[in-house]
Amino acid sequence: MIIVTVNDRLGTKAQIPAFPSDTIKQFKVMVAMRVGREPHEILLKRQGERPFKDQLSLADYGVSNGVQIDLEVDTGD
Amino acid sequence: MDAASIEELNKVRRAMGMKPLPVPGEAPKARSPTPEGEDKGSTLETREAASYDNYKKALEAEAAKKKREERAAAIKKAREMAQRNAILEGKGIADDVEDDELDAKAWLKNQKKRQKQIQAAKKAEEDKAAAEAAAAAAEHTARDLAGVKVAHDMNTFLEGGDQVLTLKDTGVLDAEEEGDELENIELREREKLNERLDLKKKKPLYDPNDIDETGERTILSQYDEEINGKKKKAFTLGQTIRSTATADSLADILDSAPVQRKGQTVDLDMLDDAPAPVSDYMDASEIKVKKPKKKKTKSTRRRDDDDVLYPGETETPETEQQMEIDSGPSYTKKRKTFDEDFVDDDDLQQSLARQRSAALKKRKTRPEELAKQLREESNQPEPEAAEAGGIVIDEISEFVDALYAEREEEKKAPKPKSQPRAETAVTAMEEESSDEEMEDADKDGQQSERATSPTGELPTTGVEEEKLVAQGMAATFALLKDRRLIDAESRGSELVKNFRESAHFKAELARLMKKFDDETRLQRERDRASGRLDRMSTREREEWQRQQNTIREQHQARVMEQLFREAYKPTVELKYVDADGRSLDQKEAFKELSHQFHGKGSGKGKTDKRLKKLEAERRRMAQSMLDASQNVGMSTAASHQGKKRKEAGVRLA
Repeated sequence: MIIVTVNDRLGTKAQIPAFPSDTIKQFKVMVAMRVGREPHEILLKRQGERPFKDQLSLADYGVSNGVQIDLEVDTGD
Repeated sequence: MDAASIEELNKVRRAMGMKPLPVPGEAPKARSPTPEGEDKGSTLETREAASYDNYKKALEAEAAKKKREERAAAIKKAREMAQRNAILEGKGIADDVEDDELDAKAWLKNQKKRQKQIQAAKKAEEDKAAAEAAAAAAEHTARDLAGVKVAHDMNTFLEGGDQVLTLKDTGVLDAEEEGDELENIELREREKLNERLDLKKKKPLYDPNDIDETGERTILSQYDEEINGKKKKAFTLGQTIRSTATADSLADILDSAPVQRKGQTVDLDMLDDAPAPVSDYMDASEIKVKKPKKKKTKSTRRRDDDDVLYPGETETPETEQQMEIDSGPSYTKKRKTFDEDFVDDDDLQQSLARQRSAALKKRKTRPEELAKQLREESNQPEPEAAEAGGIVIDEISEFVDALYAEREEEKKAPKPKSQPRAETAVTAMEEESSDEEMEDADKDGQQSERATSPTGELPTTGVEEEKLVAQGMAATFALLKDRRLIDAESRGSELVKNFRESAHFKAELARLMKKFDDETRLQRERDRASGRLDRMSTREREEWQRQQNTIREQHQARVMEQLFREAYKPTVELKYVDADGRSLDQKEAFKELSHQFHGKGSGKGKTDKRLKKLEAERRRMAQSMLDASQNVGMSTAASHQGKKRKEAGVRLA
């Protein structure tokens, strides 16, 4: 189990436990539960990198324990 | 991450069909789900699952190690403490005192001794204090400080006020060598500041004005400080002042024969009572601007008159005054120059002036004198008009004016219609003028005018008056000739001769034609009368007549040819005339034709120029030689004269 920190840089910061094998889509559901926003509206990315794709897992993006991920609003494009 | 929230999450995960997160408080579930055959870490999942456990294990190991170390440290500390306590064991100083001494008897026995001890100590203390007091009471004199250096210039202490000197801060060994030095911190700082300010000033290396009067001058003295180090201004207390500079400055201060030396700074505040240096420039308040005296010719004249009136009072300037009287007031200029020439003895002039002013003052208050003087002045005619410097009337201008006057008279009396009877040679004009004369209503007036204006005579000025067109052809011709509008002397006779010849030729031609006609008619009459034609047939008759005609024409042609050969001299002249009737020369005509051909004329500028030229030409032709209103001909004479003499003036009449 790893603990990932999700930060939207606007004052919301949540720590979410997950497995590295979880897909981004599943992880987004967890995040949605915590931040109160629909999962399809959530866009996750490492700072300064391209947004994470839903099909890949956290491990694919090298997210390990204590990593911080940026949370943005996904407008669909 | 507390267990509750993870439980919450696990619910969701289970709903989504995901593996639940391990809850920290719970014991790890049986590892049974992992199959036996599968060796650990073969798949990603197992490794992931193992990783957390490994992490946990590592943490635990770390915590255990920490605990162990802590325990070791505690043991060590305890052992050290024990060691220290072991050293402090044994008998102390206080333990040496026997118990028996502490009883009352012993204490009383020792009381005396102890009293003595206390007294002795007190006495010693008192002695010490007395010695100190004595030492303090002994005054410090200059002798105490003799031989101690003071690291300041003597001058700095002359300002007065108390100065606190302290020992200079130096190294111990340096102080051994040089001895102690005293200095004032404030003064030291001020000196440093001054030095820095001096460095900031850009001093020229060579100052030609800085002449050393003592003659002690080294080569390139400005580098002396750099090479030899700074000269220290210092003096030793208790020594007689030896440095000359200080002595001089002291002397300065004591107002005794100041000798200025180079490089010696003297505080000028001490020299307040010394006289201020004389400035090269005058102070603005001292300057008095002299107002330029207005020349009053009148007043000077009055004074001159005064001098004349009272010749006895001033003896010396009499000759000069006499001169003035003689020359009279109209020659003021000349007299002035005379005066200036005479001023060669200043003292004499001054004394004269003084005398004159004194005399004037004496006289000033007497009113009857004033009245007399005024009367005198009024009696004298004032010939100032001549001096006014206006236009000067001399022979030439008068002459020209006379010209003008004549012209004016002529204009006023336009008599020409009547007068030409006497003199004009043109006969055709005579009748016309006489006719007009009849028409004239006031004949008497005309005649009286004729009587007053003596046109027949030569004008007094000696210049002939201009002819008028109305006087006749000859007069017109003369007028044009005067104005140089026609070319008078060239080809006149030739033209006449040509004209006559051509006329002659024409007449001859006509005469011959007539003669031929007559001859022809006569011959035909004769033929008809002779009856010769009757005998012939019509055809023969025609034939004969044709023959006769040719013979006759041949004869006529021969005669005519001779005439033409002898007398016919045609003059070929190409005349071009523009729309206004002006005759054009070749160039102009070409331009005109070209413009006509091309259907467009010159531009605006050229047209304007041409029109202006034509206008000027027209005006020139219309102008009289003697017209005074414009600058033509003779009327410019006066203005020319004026210009030559540099006199301004306007002709009013």
